[in-house]
Amino acid sequence: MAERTRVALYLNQFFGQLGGEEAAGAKPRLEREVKGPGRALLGLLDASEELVGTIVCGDSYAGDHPELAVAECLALLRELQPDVLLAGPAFNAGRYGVACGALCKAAASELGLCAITGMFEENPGAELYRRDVLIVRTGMNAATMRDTLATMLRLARKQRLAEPLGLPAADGYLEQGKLQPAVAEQPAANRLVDMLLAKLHGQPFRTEVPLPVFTPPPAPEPLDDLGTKLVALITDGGLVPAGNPDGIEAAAATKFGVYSVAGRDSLDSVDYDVSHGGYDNRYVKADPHRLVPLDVARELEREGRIGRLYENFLSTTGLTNPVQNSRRLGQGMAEHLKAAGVEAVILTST
Amino acid sequence: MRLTLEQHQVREIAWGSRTKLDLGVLTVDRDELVAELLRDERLTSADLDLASPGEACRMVQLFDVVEPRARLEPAGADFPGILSPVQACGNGRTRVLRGAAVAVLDPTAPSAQLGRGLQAGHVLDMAPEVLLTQPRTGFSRRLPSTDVSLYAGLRHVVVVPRIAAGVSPDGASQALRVASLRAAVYLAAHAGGGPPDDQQVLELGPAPPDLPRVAYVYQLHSHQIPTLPGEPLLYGDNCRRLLPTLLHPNEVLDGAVVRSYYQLNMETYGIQNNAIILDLYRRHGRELNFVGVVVNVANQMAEERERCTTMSANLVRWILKADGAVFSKTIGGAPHVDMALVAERCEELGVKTAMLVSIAGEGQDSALFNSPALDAIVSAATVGTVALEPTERVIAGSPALAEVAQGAMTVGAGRFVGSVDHLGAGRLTSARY
Amino acid sequence: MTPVAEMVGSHRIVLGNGIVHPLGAAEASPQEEHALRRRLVERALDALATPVAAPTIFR
Repeated sequence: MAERTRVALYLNQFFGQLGGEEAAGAKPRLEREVKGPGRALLGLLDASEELVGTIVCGDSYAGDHPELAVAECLALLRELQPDVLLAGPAFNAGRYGVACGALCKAAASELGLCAITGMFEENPGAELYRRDVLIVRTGMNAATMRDTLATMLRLARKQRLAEPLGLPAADGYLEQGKLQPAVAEQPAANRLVDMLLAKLHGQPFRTEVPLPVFTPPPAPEPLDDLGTKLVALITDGGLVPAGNPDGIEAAAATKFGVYSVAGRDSLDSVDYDVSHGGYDNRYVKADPHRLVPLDVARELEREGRIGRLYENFLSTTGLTNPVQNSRRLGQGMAEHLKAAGVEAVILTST
Repeated sequence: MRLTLEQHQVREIAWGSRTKLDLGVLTVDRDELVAELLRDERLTSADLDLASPGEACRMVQLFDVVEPRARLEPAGADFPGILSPVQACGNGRTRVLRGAAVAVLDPTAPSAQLGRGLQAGHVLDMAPEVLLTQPRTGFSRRLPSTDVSLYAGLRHVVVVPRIAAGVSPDGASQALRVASLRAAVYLAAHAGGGPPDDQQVLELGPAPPDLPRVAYVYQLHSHQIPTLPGEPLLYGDNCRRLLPTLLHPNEVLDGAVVRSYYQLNMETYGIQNNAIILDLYRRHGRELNFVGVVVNVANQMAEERERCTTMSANLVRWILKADGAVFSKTIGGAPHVDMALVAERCEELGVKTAMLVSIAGEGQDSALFNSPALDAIVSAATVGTVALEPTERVIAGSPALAEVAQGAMTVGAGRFVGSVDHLGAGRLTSARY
Repeated sequence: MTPVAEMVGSHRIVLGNGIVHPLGAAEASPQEEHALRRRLVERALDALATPVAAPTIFR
């Protein structure tokens, strides 16, 4: 007979029967004895699977020392040598959910385990980890413990066999934000009219594209003395040196370029190109100042309206750029500019 | 307005001595078709070819796909403002050759890099199956080509117009536009007068008063790529300063609208068969009352955008008195925003909305609108790329390109012609895992 | 595309002169075009010096 699949369980102090809130500071410990939900899990395992141990950790300990707690749990897992880690389910318990998510992510990436947890959709751990960790959808409380464990186990088996996951609704997990090609039953036009009619009749419908939600950052303070500041020009309109030496992509660019304008008062159209597939580039190619206004920035520098113009302009291409990537590019640009001592930025966008 | 589409099914296309349709076989006199195309002095010649479903054949540098149609009553009123004088269309009788298409290549058009400095542009492969992949998530699935492209299941007469030296780029594009339509009209007009296999009557008759009134807001173009002088979009007009206006759906289907020269994912074939209009027709009088089409464009300037938003929403709410509206857009981010602004204004005026968008690229969301009322969105595009195996025959603008394009090739889903139709005919979409 | 800038929470937004040339005017004379560009950049500098609480468009 083939070797049995080794399953480990992670529980908090409450489900691990250490105690309530008074035990929430407990460090991770390994229990060989079956604890709490472990009993239900035993009833679900088949002959090819065995529960090899349970890690119990206090929620406060995991929340107050997140990195340490994960490291200590990983050490215990190395000792247990499981193939599968089932964490929780945490239902709507916030600290527990975050701890389950963090451990599953680390167990998968560092130990190569098949690691699955379960949470209520609004558990903060779900938002933090759903992209990286397979999280089974649960109700708000432990009423569905047995069903949730059964689903976690079913998905673990699927993953071990490298079977593709079904849709989130069909397979019972929280959407991970991965878009895959698919062929729908009905043409898009019919689905569109169906959706409108449902909306008109007050019937339930499900958008195929959920809306991103933004929390705007606080407004930066105004600058009172621009005449002393170092100012930079940035664009997301894709202006690049002729030949596009950095290979800035013409759509959804993954990088930005840093291009010197030191000692120059203007941009010569023969020296530049546009790598942007989203607008008619002819006007900017004919005169790059229509996108990056170096000429007037130099005038304003000479006149003392700005202290000094930063010696490079930064350029990327925004077209159809996903939010996460745009955010990463923005952070990279901000770090570059901060390191250079830039205090103000004019970003020109098409 | 009442339009009867007399539909003839085409099961085979072959060259012959006289152009005619007989028992589903369309025979084409190539010399006569070439002569018809060469009425345009900007062309020196035109290469013709055929391509059928399931064949190991690939077209690259595709300019447009057009369904062969000819106006029978009134005769000759084809594509008003382009092929014929500006005049009414959408009323009377039109012959349609179902299952056939004219595919026109643009031998001057570069787009996607292919290697050796040659460019394949937009591609259509007639192989029975293609491989759809999403490298980011490891997805890979073999699908019937007819699931992936709206045009892989059609029989194509392929036209490669040769542009005379000295013709300006604008003139060349216009010549390609005229050639596309002229070939399509020629085939249908010469198909002969046998009885049609089927008739479709399109007329917005009275609907029961309790049905919801539904309008369609149809964005024809986005001027982030401004149309050129003489570039026909609507009755021959380039719509550079188009203010939102009302059309009868039959006008859209019957030749008043063609796509701009270089508009991804909205071929003239898709406009002639605008799937949103056809679906609204199908439900008219039973599930809804289809009250009309508002056409507009996405704009460059903030003031134009506001004008378009205000007037489009007013037409929907106060002139058409719609309870609900569906929206379609052209490819790109700016059109996305312009469409959403109109929809948002409609919602503010009490009109419920649903929008057709395309989310492609890397498979994550590009953020372009953020309004809680815009909660009904259908995705008409797919993520990922189409992986093509080597093929036997390539139809291209030059022998060098044909040779290079014969090998295995990866094409972004949006550049595989017919994989995305912004007017909703396709079933390919993206599922969220 | 000021609606996008507003939506993602850019605080100081200057309205440019169209998508294809936010800081240009292809149909104007070179002098007029330069003057327009200068006005827009000066407006950006003014915006940088102006307190705002929420995304604000400077016209």
